[in-house]
Formats: sequence, C-alpha cells, structure tokens
Amino acid sequence: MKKNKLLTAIFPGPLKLVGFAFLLFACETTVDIDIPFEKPQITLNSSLRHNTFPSVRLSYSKHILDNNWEFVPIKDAAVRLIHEGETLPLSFVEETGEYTNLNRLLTQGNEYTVEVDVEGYETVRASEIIPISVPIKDLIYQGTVQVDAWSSNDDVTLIFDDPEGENYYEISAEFYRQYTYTDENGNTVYYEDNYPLYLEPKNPTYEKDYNTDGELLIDDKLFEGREAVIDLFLNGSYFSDDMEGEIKFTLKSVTRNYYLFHSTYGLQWWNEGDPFAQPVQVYSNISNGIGIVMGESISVKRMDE
Amino acid sequence: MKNQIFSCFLLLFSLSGYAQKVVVSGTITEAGTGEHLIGANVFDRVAEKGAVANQFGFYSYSSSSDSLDLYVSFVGFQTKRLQLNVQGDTVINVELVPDGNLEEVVVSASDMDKIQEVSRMSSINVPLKQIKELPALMGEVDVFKVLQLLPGVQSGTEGGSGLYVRGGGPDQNLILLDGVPVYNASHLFGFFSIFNADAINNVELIKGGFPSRYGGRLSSVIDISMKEGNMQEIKGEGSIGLIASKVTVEGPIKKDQTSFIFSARRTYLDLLARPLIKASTGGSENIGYYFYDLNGKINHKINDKNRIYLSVYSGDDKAYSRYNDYYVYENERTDYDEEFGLKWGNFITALRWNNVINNRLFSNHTFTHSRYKFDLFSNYEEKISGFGVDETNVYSERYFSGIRDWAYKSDFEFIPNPDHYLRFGGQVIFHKFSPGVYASKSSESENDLRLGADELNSMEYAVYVEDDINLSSRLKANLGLHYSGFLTEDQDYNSLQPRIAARYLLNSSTSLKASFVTMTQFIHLLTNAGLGLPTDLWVPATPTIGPQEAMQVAFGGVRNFKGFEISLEAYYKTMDGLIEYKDGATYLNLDEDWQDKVAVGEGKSYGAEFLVQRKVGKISGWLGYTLSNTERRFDEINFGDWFPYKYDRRHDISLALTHEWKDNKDFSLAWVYGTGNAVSLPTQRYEGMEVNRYGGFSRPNINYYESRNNFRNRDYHRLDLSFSWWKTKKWGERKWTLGIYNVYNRMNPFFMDLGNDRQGNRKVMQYSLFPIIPSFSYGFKF
Repeated sequence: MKKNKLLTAIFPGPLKLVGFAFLLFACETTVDIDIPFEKPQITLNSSLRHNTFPSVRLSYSKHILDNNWEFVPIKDAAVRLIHEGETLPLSFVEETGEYTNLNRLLTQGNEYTVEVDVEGYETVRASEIIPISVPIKDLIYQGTVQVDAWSSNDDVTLIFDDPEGENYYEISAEFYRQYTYTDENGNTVYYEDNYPLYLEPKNPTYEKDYNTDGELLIDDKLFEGREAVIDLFLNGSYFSDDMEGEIKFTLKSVTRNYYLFHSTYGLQWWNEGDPFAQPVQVYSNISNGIGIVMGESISVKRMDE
Repeated sequence: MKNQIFSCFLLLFSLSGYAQKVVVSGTITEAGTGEHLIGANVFDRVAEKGAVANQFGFYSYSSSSDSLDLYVSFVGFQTKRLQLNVQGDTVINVELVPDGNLEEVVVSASDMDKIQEVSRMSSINVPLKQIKELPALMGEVDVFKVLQLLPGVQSGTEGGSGLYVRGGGPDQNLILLDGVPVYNASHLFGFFSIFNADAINNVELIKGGFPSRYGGRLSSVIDISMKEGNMQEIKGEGSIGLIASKVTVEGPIKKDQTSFIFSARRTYLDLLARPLIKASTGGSENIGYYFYDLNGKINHKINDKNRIYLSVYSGDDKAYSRYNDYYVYENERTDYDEEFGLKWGNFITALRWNNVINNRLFSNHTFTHSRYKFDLFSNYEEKISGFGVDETNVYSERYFSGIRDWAYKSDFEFIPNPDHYLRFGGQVIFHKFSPGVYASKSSESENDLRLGADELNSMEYAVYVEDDINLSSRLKANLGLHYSGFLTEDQDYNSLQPRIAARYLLNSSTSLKASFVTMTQFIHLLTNAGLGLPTDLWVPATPTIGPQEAMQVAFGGVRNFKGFEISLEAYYKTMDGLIEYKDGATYLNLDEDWQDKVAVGEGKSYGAEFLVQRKVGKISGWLGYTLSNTERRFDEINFGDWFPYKYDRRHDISLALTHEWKDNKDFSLAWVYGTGNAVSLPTQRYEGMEVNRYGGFSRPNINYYESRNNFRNRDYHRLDLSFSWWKTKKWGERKWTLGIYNVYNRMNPFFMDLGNDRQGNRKVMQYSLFPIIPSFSYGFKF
C-alpha cells in the first residue's frame, strides 16, 4: 500500500481545521499592484524529434493579469533552422499554426539551432542536439499482483543499456486491441481500443506526482552507463486471455532541456492552488525570449503474451 | 594553539589579580519576595569600578582598598548605598526595594546601568513591566510580540510570533527557558508564544556579539528566566481575557528557605463555541481548538552557598473535530464516530544546582529534559448491530514527529578582580529526532503499518571560555572561544568559534563598540512558507546536509543621556549551510525524504539599527529603526542567483510607549511600520510546449516568474492602543485593561495570490488576517 495515498486520505481533515482557523480571521481584498510589462516576449517552442520534420511554434507572452487566455501564433516571423552552417528556412502553416519545412527530416545526433527574427525584437535563438535513440533490450512480464478484491496490477520489467554520459528518458506504454462483433442488424463492427497505461515504478525515486498520465521521466543517475532495469506496475491487468490486445512500450531518449522543462512545468502545474508550495520557475533555454527547444528520439517495443 | 590561548588567560589573571585586597560578594534580591535581580549593578564610587549580578543574582566585587562606597542599583528599584570598611573577604546580601514612584531615584538608577560601560553589544533587555503594559493582540500579553518591536527583529507574517533576527530564520534563535532550549515556542499556529508573562522574571535578547557561553544557533539568543517564587509570603495574580485566562500563585513552602511558583493559562474558545456548534449540528459534530501552559518551579536554599531549583513547563495545543452519526442498511444499524485533529506541545524540565564555591567562584550545574512533539491523528470507530450481527471496527492513522533532548551543563564564573570576569563551562546534549512517522492500525487487519523515517540519535557537545577584561580605563573587551561538536550517523562535525566584543569609552556617557562572532548550528528546521505551523520539522545535520554556519561583524556607538539609552549599530552577517525547500516542494508530500526536498545554500544580511530607549519614568519605551538587506542563494533555486529573503525588510520602524498617566492609570501605544515582505508573483503568462495531461495533448498556460521573491507585499503598519486602570482592594488589587489592536483597521497583507474579481477580471488578491480588534481583560493581584 502506498503511504502517500493514505496520507492524502487523512490529511484533508486536519487541514480543514487550519483552513477553518484561517477563514475565521481572513479577509480577502483585491489590490492593484503595478506589475511591470514593457512589451510581450517572443515565445518559442519546438520539439526536435528524430526522423520528423522540424516544427516551430511562435507566440507572444501576455501580462499575467491579461484576461485573454488564447495565444495567437505569430505568422510573420523569419524562422531558420541551422545545422553545420547550412540554413533551412521554415514557413508558416496556417492549419497547424507552426513553422515547418517538409524538405528535411531531422536526424538524431545532430545539433540544430533555431533562429527567429520578429520585427522590433532581437534575434531569438536556441540550440539543441537530438539524442541517439536507445533500444529497449527486453520486456519481461513478471506476473500479476492482486491489489484488492477488485483489481490487480501487471508486474513488468523493462531493460535497456544506458550509454555513457548524462542521459534522460521518458518511458510510456499503450494498450492496443482490435476486435469485432455483430450488431443487432447482423453487421460486423470493427472496434479499436488504444489508450495510455499508467506506469507505477517500484523504485520511489522515479515516482513524480505530476506524471498524471503514467509516463516516467527519469535521469540515469542510478544506472549511469550500465544496464538499466526498471521494474514497473501497469495499472491494471492486460495479460489475461479476455484482453486480446498488445502492449506497446516507448522508450524516449530525451535531452536535458526536455527533462528540465517537463519536470519544472509539471511541478508548477501540480502545485497550482497549494498555498504551502514554493513557486516554480519553469525552465527555459531560449535567448532573447522564453519557451523551450528540446530534442527526443524514440524506440518502441511491443509486448505480446 | 589552544594551550597558548589558555596560557595567555592565566597570565592576564596572574598579572592583575595579585593586587586585590578584599572581595565583597553575595546575592541581590527584591525585598519582600526574595526574587533575584538579574543584571543588578554594584558600583564602587571610590574605585570607579563595579560588578553585575548574574542570572542567579550572585555578584562578586574585588577591590584593592578596604574602604568601599558601593551603590547597588537596578532598574525600577531604589538604589542602595553601602559605605563599608571591610577587613578581608565579606559576604553582603543586598535587598532592593521596588520603586515605581520616585522618578528622580529611578533616573539615577538608570545612570548607574551604564550601557556604555559594558563590552557586550547587540543585546537588549526589556523590562517586564513594559512587556506587560504594552498593547497586546486580543489582550494576551506576549513576550515575543514585544521583542518583535525591537530593531533588527522582524515579525514574519501578520500576527505571527515568529522572530527573524538580522536576516536569520526562525530556527536560528536559541530560545532558553531557564536554560533549556525550547523548540516550538508558539501557540495557535504561531499567533501567540508559549511564555506566560506572569511567570517570567527576566527576558534578554542578544542579536550579535554573542558571548561564548551561548552556542548552537546562528542568529539570536532569547534568554528567559522564570520567577523563583516568593520566599516571604503567598502572592498571586491572574487575569481573565477575551480568549484566555491565567493565574499565578507563588509563595514560601518554608519561609526564606523554600519557595514555589505555579502558573497556568488556558484558552476557552472551544468551550464557548461548543454549545453553538452542537446546537447547529444537532449534537453530532464538535470542532474546537485550545491551548494551555503550565509553569512550575521550586526553589530551595540549602545554605548560603548552595541552592537548587526544579522548574517544569508543559504546554499543548490541540485542534480537533469529532463527528458521530448512524445509518441503517438492510436491517443493520451502523453507528460511527470519527475524530481527527492535530496536537503539539513542549514539555520541559530543568534541575539546577547553584554553588558558591568561594566568593570569587560561582558554579551552576543543570540537568535538563526537553520534548517537543507533533501528532496528527484520525480515528474511526463503527459499531454494527442487527440480525445476529454485533461487530465493532476500529481504524486509526497517525503521523507524528518530534525532538527530545537530554542535556547536562556546567557553568563556572570566576571573578579574580574587577578587571576580569571569567566564564567557562561545558555542555552535552543527547538529541533524539523523530522526523516524521506514519502509523496505521485497523481491527480488520492483523498487521499494523508503520512507515517513515527512523528515529535518529545524535549528540551535541560544547565547551567554552570567555573573559570580560578591562584592558585600560577606556578599553574593555570580551574575548572567548566556543568549541562545539555533533555526532550523527557516523558523521562527526566540529567547530571552533572565536568571539570578540569590545567597547572603547569616549567619555563617561558615550562609547564605541565592535564585535566579531562565528556561530555554528547543527540542527535545521524544515519549514513551509514561514507560517510557523506545527508541522515544521526539526532535523539534524546529516552526512548529506551539513551544519549551518554564520559570521557576524558589528560596530556602533552608545550614549547614555538623561535617562535615555541611545544606540546605533551596523552589522554584516554571512550564513552558510542554510536549507530551503526546492522549487515546487511542498510539505504535503510527506513520503519524500526531507533531504531530497531541500536545497542547501548561503545567505547574507547587512544593515543599521537605531534605538532610543527609556526604561523607567512616567513615560518610558523606545523608538527603533532598522535599515537592512537580506538575501539568499541556492544552486537549485532561482537558477543559482541571489534573491531577497522572504522576510527581507528594507525599513522597519517601531514606537512603543507607556505613560503612567496617574497613580492608578496608564496608557500605552505601539506603532509599527515595515516594508512589505518579499513574495513570488508571476509577471507574464506564455504558451507552453504541448504536453500530455490526462490523456490529451494541449498547449498549457505557463506562469513566468522572473525570479524568486520578485515582488513586495504592501507595506505593513499598525497602531495598537491600551488603557489600564487599577484599584487597591482589601484583598489586593484589581486591574482593568482595554485594548485596541490595529486601531485604524489597516488591512495588512498575510499573503498574496492571483485570482479573479467579481467581474471575472484577473487580479492580485491580498488576504489579510486581523482587522481592528478591541479587547479587554480583568486582572487581579493578591
């Protein structure tokens, strides 16, 4: 049984008492505070994935008290992708709201620099190296663990070889199945299920509250340069005969920028509304702007039983 | 090196000690009660030298002449003159008579205090009379709230009793109650301190220039001595206030030999609210909160040279909610009773033995035990009855933490001659830390669950030596060394801390002072948002998280002018090994190891403090001003850049005045102003990289913080007033006090957050706690 869940269950009561004490006295006032905002910053976001076309999203930041929550993409910027001295222009695509170039696929191991010129701003710039993908060496089904009278979890081990150096990974899994049935009119209906699986690591070091979709974002400090053995529980039992599907594991090699962005944003998102939490500055690697340019390469392995 | 230092000390004594002919020693007490007068002065007009009574009222004065003209004085007491011709060493016990009326005598006494004479700096002694007379939140007199009005001391959050001294944190204050460290000195989530002013004899705050006898904390020493109990007759006092009542009784068990004092205080908001809550919930629910304090002390004089004291403090806070009801399902009735709450408290005991070894050597040996515990609990009990069923199920869950100390301390004071006052001693403390344990029990399960950190034992030890030396008629210095060590988890930390403080007399009323100290602290307080919640966790230095260290230099000048003490000081302080929650860390996530949640970094603080104080007279009080800057830096916070400390306060002004209006009326006011606390607010919002949340991809809104603590709350200011009048009755005296807290209803910020106004517009919302609050109390003395 996980301690955190129990604590979450008992804490609301006493915290209500603290809240009660606070409400007993507290008054709320709207105050006008001068929050300086000379002009919006250029926001540059791009995830450079191996074997995909480059795509870059640009927008302006807003004053924190701006009531408009929608961000409109910047359409008239000059966006370039630079690799080993070669410059590749990216053009704006209305449908996606992103800048792209369909003549070039990104390649792992390469360093790319994204440069953006917008009138009235200095050149916005960020560089990133797409990491080399790391194959999943093995996936081992260890059995099923009964959680309570109604549910059980699959116990799975994922193994891969961690290359030398500082590496970061994101592990995720999906369940996929196809089946058919005959409806009341006698028609054959084809049906597909495809949904992400919640991964719960046995090693609490890998556990992060903000990984709400069950993916794991980890660094390689515990297995640096060696074979990594990650023991996981899948939230559910998918290896029984009546499931008739397959599980697909994805091991995403990600960069330090990816890791820092996702962990800091995840924390900011998770702590929203918690008055006891420290504020979180979300990581950015953009010079003369804000946002993130990050790199990733994926390897996939299916698990059949 | 250590041998050389010790040899120098010996040489100094031998050179200056041989010329002394007579030694006069004894104790200075209050006439009528026998209470020791800590810090009372003995001044020889012939030699223009003197001595000061220590914490136990003991003084020792040696002179090269057998003709003495001694003035014995203490603030608020009539000065006593003793013209003596002594043959050899003499013991003279002096009793001083309290005097609240003769201002001329009192001013004369104030002249004798000679703030300009002492080598110690950055130290303030607030007379208890002023502490009791100043306005108080909800009429509850609070020692810490008064200390917050002094320059160099910040109050933290609105209404809180936390102390932030010269840029330090609340864990960096060595709070001593009769020599025993107190770990959590607050009640009601930090709004009141645990110290009952009626049971206190003396309060001293030291912000810098720490004498070597103190150690273990970085930023301040708050040395509180309990009363010892009236040796002559049974006396009592008490009060009935808005939220609490208290009573103190003291008197002799055996006249002039054994005395006791007992004091109790309890809040009764829960008792008053209980009928209302029960009525509104049909009797099924009860919610409440209370705190209480008990102080007791027995003081036994074995003979003129030996005395023992046993003092005890016990205090608890408890917030609780109880709910019971029943339901019927398929002919089975289930009655259930659930309770949850939290409680925390201190239990402190001290056994002390004073021994006057001879008229130049005094010793004090202390055994202490201190325990602080925090307990969060949830209990559920159900009784199921029906057709053939009679079953009871019980479930309980607890989260508890705490710290427990056992300590032994020996202090010696050796006064070879008026030019030296040597103190030396040692201390050993065994700490037992319980840094957070979760336990659950269930009648349905065979195994109880217990998770969390194991208890951790550690040992802290220290030895010290210091000497207050008259180097010339103008130059006086306090030189000392404090050596301390800490053993924990096979890790041994050691620290040698030199301490120097000196004063140079410019003339009879003015002096310049300077000090240099280093301090080491082996324990940390994990605290969230600075609210002073009882969930704050004391943890030891570990192999991963080392001790905290500080260096402080200060210089300034003091002038004693027509009853006014004027001081101006500047200080610069650096701190290392500070801990702070990392970005996003929250104390709600209890199953993460605390060492993984904190970042270790450094801090610095510098500033200037100005104080004008008048301790006695028809109008007394002080005006203080502090100009300061405090910053922190952690590799893992704010991208490694320096940022303002949350309680960095550029300007801080406090005015505290009491006016004895008539013989039976007094009036007091306190006004404070401070720059707003530093807070972190986002300045912009931007579109984030697409992320996966709850099964779908979206581009989130991200709040952009330029840096940690990049904004300021609105400035804080508040005026409190209080008016008291009293009347002598056959049985004693009764006193009424009316007070108004926050007279002009300033909505001071407690914290700020982003929200929406009623029109749905994004706004910064400020949350305030205390509007104008009138209060009254009825006090009595017999």
